[in-house]
Amino acid sequence: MGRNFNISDELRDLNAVFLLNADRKNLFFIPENYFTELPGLLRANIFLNSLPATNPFTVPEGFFENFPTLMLSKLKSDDALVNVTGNKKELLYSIPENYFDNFANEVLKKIKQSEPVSVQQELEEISPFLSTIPRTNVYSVPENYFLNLNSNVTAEQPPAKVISIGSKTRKWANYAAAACVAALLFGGSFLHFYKKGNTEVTPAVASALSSEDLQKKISVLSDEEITNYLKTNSNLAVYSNTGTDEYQQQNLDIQNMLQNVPDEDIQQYLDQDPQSSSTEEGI
Amino acid sequence: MQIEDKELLEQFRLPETKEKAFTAIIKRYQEKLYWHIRRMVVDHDDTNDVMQNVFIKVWNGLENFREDSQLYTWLYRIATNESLTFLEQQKKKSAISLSDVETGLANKVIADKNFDANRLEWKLQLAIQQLPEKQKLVFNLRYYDEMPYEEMSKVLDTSEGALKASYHHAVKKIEEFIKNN
Repeated sequence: MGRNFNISDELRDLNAVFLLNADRKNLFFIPENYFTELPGLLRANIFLNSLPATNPFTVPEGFFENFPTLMLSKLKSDDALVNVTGNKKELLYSIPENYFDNFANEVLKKIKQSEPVSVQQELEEISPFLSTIPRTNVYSVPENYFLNLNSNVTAEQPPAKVISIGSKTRKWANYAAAACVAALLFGGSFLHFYKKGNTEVTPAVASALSSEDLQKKISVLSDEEITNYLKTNSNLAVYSNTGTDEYQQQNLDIQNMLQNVPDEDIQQYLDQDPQSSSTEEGI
Repeated sequence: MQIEDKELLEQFRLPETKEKAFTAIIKRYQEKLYWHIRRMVVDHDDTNDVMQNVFIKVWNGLENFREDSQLYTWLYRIATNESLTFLEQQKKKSAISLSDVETGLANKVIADKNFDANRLEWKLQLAIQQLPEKQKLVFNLRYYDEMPYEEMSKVLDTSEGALKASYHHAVKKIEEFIKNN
């Protein structure tokens, strides 16, 4: 059949005047490039429809059953981080109660701890009781003491007597002093004893006695007899703890002199001179 | 060092101003040193003896003072050592034990003409005399002279920590003594 007919002629034969005069333009919308892309879309659709209807992905067991509970609990924990102003966007850490109210005091306290405390504050901390006791000076001072003090401490001191400690002369002086004292003590005690006894003591008799005899005689003397002898002989206050200050001073002087003399030297000297052997205290 | 002390030291080192400077030093420090000594030895006459010894040593040693510490620190050190030496001599003279020395000093407190056992201040003095010498020194320097521990450390040649501990113990002992007596 050939396409020799004319639609317009056909519409005229049908007396379809309206249709014969109508605009035949396409009024429907078609996406851009629709027909260009249509073949590819149709081929993809055909391919997808041909695939088996199976799901290759897996889901944890009970996931969907628990999912609503999970969501609710998550929403609740988010609520706990909301600040007191209700601003749910801000998340804050918890802080101790009244932290900011006390913070300034805490800082000041630390600063004060690092600063040196006064003596009074220190005392109050250690002993509040003691800090309440008034610091009254209870001792008295003689009138005008401080006014006269610096005149008593003479500015120009006299040259001090130089005593050479350890020199040979000094050592022998010490030995001599010890020997003299010992000899006088024993001799005097001995004479005193013999005055009381039957034998008349003369220097000749005394010198004739051996050192051993002398020691025997003196050893029987009582302490009281020796002390009485010393009291009556003021220049021999070697051993006295009841004497006057002068005696004590002499005692101290001798002790000071002998202080630096080694015991071996004294013993050697005493061994060399039997008459001076002595066991008296203080020598 | 205080400027005035420095000037006094310079004057002391010059022969023409030596005595004048020495007098000025005595006047400046005599009362402080006196009371420091007196609190150790109690008796006025003993204190006077120690004071004389102190200033004789000052006269002899001031020329060589190295100025690496305050003058008053150096003076306090001398006064402390002389007081301790005096107490040591007292011990040797009387041949008594250490505890007897403390008892002896307490007796000197009681013997004071103004002593009043009912007054807390006198009880405090008795309590102080019960302390060992070193603790007594630390207490006196801190309580009466309000000496900083740093200075006290130079006077007593002891660490600050040890001094603080010593002071703490001394205060507690004194408190206990007063409360028990």
